Amino acid sequence: MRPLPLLPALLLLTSTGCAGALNRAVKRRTIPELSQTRDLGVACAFGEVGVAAAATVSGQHSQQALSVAWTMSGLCTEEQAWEEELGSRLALAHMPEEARTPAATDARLAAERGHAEAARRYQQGYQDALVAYGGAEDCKLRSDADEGVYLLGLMAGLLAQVNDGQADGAVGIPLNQLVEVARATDCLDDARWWGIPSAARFAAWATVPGSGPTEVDPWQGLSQAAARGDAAGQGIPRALWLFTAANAGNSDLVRSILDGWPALDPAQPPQWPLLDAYARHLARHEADLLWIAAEGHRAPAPPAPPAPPAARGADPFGSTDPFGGTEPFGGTEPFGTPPDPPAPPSE
Amino acid sequence: MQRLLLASLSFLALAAASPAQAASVCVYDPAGRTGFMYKMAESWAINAASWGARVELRPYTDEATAVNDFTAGSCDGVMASGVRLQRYNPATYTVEAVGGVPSYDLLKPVLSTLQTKAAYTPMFDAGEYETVGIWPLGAVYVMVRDRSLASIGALSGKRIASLDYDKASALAISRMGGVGVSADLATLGPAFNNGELDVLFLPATAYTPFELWHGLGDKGGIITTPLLQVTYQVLIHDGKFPEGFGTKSRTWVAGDFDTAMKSIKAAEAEVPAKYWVKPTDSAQTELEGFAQKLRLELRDQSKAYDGRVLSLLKKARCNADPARAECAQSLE
Repeated sequence: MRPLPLLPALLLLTSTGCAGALNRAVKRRTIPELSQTRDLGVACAFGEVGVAAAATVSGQHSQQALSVAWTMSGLCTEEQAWEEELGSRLALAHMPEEARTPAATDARLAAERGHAEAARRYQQGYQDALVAYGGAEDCKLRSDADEGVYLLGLMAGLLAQVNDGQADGAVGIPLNQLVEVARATDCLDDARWWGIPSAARFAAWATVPGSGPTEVDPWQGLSQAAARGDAAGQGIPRALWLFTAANAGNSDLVRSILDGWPALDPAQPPQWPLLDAYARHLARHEADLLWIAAEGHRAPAPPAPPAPPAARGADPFGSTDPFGGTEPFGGTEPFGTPPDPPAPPSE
Repeated sequence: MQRLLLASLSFLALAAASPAQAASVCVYDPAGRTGFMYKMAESWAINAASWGARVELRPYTDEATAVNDFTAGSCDGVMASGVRLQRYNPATYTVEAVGGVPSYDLLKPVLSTLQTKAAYTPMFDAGEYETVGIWPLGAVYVMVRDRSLASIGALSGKRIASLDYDKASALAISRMGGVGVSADLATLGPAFNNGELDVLFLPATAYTPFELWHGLGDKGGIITTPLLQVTYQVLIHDGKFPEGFGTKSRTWVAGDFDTAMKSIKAAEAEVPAKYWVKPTDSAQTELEGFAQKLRLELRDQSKAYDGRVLSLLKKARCNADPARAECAQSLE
């Protein structure tokens, strides 16, 4: 992929102080490029630099650029929070008994700080998107690029509430924000955006009791949205389904969603690899949580996890012992008797 | 079919290959894993490691399912509201008695004393179960679509949400002369907002998630006097946790009171001042008398409340405010 044209654009525009031009540059140049990366670290760096640069332009008029930058910057602190969250679980699993609670508590508090910062950043991204385009009643979207910025802003709105919950409400994101975002997704065409708008809507309805129409089964809706996303190579709907199931404690469904995750198809790359990469990153985090609980370590790298003992297949030797039950090497020790380990030094 | 790393995890294997046996606890939080109740549970579970227990939390967004799974033996412990756990431990449920604890200032020493003084340990023993912690979950308030109804006497004939597992609210509605409308967490918010219900009994923590301003509108109100205090309780199976776990857990939970109150007070602060209705002196007296009658009936007829705990709560109320009319009586 080509280098992102972000910094030159931002530096040029901040030096000229033209907020409208900055918004246009971000929509026409930066987002088309940024959305093609699968490197979340690059997106995070873009966000942090972009916030600092765009804020120097008269902030009241560059909300579109700021919304994208704030949203991307949330990735940085959310990633730190996730790492600390895993650290807390690992401390409980492996530390000596007397150190478990303080070590796990420390990591948990660090995770809460990270989630709080992520919530602040995502919330800023969401608020800037609302200022630029309005909420469900307004839908002031004039172009595909506007829709892209708005979609990111709505995702940020969801993530702000999720992260604030994990930060024990440190930021004070309104608890109806999921529902507010769900309403605003009506501004976006579900097919155009690979099922993400409907997945966000169903996720909110499944999470907040009574928030959706009684005749709609949000879990079925999430499943359908995930299928739509899968067909387009876009994992965000499946990630929303996964997170909603994990949040509700439906572990069987979590396993099923992870098991059904399609492999990357080189013949059909997703249109916004950035979002798909984030979806897979979130899935990896959920898998890590499960693996630590079960095995004491994170999910291993590809190609395959250990199979369950019961699923490893029948004894390929037909349960007969080809060596006749005797020591296969004839009972002789070819290397001689090993020496005793060295004794500790005397005091 | 080729699978992604994450996808190809065989999680059934994981369940069978756990490196150490942990005690499982079904944790109810309507907001799930990101809710403030679940966060309290996480902190408790981390501290449980220092009391000799390895605890695995399982989130539930449906309270009945959490308790049913505990009953079925799927979990070694459960965290749910006192009212939902009343059939296991009526004594700890009685802390939620109607009008039993009229303020958060009083609730803190009540929960702290009960959970930390050895003299009260027996109330946590529930046969083969033990209650090992009680947090506050917020006062339940009377919310009305029309603030002219903001007194007990005015509620006659009004439609009031009733939870089928809550004897106290059903009896309260009956004694108010109200019309009980069966509801659950998924239906009561929309029903109040669209006018199918006139009155709700809910903590203020429900105000924002359920967007209750739609139902309260310009005329609605919330009576400032709490109807009761709902609590969040941890109940465990005996034998699934180390000896002495209950005492250590209750002591820690008592000290965690302010953590819970932080979320509760933040939620109450989101309710605009215009909705809070302070009852008149006569309405307050009427409310206190109504609550007392209800407590006695729930103690004597329904056998829902534990008389010993009601007696303790009365002492606490009268120590805090000796001028209360009930302090000259010996009914509780």
